[in-house]
Amino acid sequence: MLFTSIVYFLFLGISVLGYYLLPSKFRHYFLIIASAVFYMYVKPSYLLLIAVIIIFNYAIGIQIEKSSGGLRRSTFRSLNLLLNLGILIFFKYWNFLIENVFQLIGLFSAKSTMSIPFLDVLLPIGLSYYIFQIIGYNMDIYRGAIKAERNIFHFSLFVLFFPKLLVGPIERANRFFPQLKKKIVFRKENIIEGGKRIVWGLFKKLVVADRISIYHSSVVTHAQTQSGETLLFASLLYTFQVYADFSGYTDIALGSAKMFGYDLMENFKRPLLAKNLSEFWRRWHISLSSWVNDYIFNPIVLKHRNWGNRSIYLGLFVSFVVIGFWHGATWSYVLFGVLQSLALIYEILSRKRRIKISKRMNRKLYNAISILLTFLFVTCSLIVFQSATISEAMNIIKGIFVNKGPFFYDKPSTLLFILIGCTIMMAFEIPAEFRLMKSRYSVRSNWFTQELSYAFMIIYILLAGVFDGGQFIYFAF
Amino acid sequence: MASEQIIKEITSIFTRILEDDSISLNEHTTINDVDAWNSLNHIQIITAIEKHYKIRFELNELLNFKNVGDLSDGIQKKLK
Repeated sequence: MLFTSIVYFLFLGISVLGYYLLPSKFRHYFLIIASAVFYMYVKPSYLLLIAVIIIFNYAIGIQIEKSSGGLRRSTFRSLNLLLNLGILIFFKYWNFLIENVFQLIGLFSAKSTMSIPFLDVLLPIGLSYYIFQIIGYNMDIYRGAIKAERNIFHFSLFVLFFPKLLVGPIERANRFFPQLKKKIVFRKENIIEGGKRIVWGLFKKLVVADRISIYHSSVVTHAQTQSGETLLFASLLYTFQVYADFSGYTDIALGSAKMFGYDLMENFKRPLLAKNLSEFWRRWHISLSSWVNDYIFNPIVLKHRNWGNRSIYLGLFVSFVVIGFWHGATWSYVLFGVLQSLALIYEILSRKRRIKISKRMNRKLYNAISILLTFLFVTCSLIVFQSATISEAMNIIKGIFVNKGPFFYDKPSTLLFILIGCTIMMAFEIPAEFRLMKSRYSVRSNWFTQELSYAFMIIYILLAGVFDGGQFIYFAF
Repeated sequence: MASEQIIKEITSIFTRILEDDSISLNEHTTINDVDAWNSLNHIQIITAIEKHYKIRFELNELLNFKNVGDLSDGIQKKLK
C-alpha cells in the first residue's frame, strides 16, 4: 500500500475514524489490528515473520532486564543480536555474501564446479527499519537506560505502528513508549497539523521527486550517449530527488502518526543546507544516523578513547560502512559509506585550517561556499549510491568530464516543472534555516497565509504531480 | 565536591575544547543544546574531564550520560 495511493488515504481515513470512535481503552488494540492489516496488504506471509520477531524480542528484552549477572545478561544480549541480525542477513544479504564467497573460492580454484546456492526470497518491506529499532530497544535495556516493556500489546505497537512500519523513522523506545502510556483524546489540531504535513509530503514526493525521477531515469539509462552537462545536471537534480522522495515519505508518515496523536521522530533537518558533512549527517536520515551514533560509533570511540583521534577514524569507518551496507547488499552502497567516512576524516584533519580560512573571509561568503561544497560532495557520492555497480558510477562520473554533445532537457515544460518544484521546496527551507521566518508548522503564524499556501499546494499537486511515479526510493532498503 | 562547582569546572573544559567562550552549561544541558558539541569532539571532552579529575569512566557509564547533570553525578560518584 503506497503512501501516495488512494487506497492508503482511504485506509488512513477509516483507521482514524475507527480509532477515535472507539473507547480509549480499545484504541491500542485497534491500531495493532489496523497495522497488521496494513502489513498483510503488502504480503500476508510477512505478518507471520513479524509476529515471531515481536514475541521473541518481547521475551528476550525481559530476560536481559532480569539478568543481573554480567555473563547471563551479555549472553541474552548476544543471542538477541545474533537472531535479529541473522534474520536480516538471511533475507537481505545472503545472496550477496554467498556470491562473494563463491567468487573468492573461484579465485583459488580454477575449475570450480559448484553452483551458487542463491535464495529466491523477497525482502520483507521494512525489515531493516524495524530490526534496527528492536536492536536499539534491547541495547537500551542491556545498558540499563530503559525498562523492558511488560505489556505485549504496547511492544507490538512499538514495532507494528503502521505509519513508521515500512520506511521508518527508526523510532526509539524512550520516545515511543511514554506516548503509549498517555491517554490520547481527540484534538482537531492533530488532524489539521497531520493533514498539512501529509500535503507537504505529497508535494515533495509527487511534484518534486517523481518529476525529477522521469528526467533523471531517462538520462541515466542512456548515460553513455548523454553530454557531460546533462549528466551533471541530472546528478545535481538527483540529490533533490532523493531528499524530496525520502523526506516526503517521512512527512506523510509523521503526519499520519500525528492524526492518531503520536509524535514520531523527525528524520530531516534541512540537510541540503548543511555547511559541512558532519552537519549533513546530523540532519539527514537522523533516525538512522543517530542510531548508528549511539550503538556503533560511540561504543567504539569511547572504548578506545586512549587512541585519540584514531579511535574516531575507526568509529567513522565502521559506522559508515554499516550505514552504506544497511541500504542494500551491493558494493556501491559500501563504497558510498566509505566515501562518507573518508570525507568526515578529512573534515577532522582540516578543521584548524578551515577555521583559519573562515576568519580571513566574509562569514556569509564562507558559509555559502561551505554549503555549496557540501552539496557537491553529497551529489558526487549519490552518483555511487544510485548506481547498481561501481563501474556504472565511474562511467557517469567520467562522462561528466568527457562526454560531448547537446544539453538534453526533454521538453521545456519538464524543466519548468522541476525548477518550480525545487524552488518551492527550498523556498520553505532557506528562510527557516536562516531564521527569516517562523517554522512552517507553527499554528500561530499568519493563519490566512498558511491556509492559502496549503490550498495552493493541493491545487499544484493535482496539476503538476506525477500520479503513476511508483515506489519510494527508500522502500528498497 | 558540589555539583555547581563541577559544572563550573566542566564548563571551562567545554569552552577550551570547543573554542567557544559563550558556552553556558547547566544540569539539563544536552548535546543538542550546544552548537559546537558533537559526537566527534565528545571524546576529547570526556578524556579532558578524566584527565582533569584523574578518574576513569566505565564504557557503560559513558553511554548512559544523557545530559550534563548525569555527567556531573558520574564525576561526583568517582570522586567519593
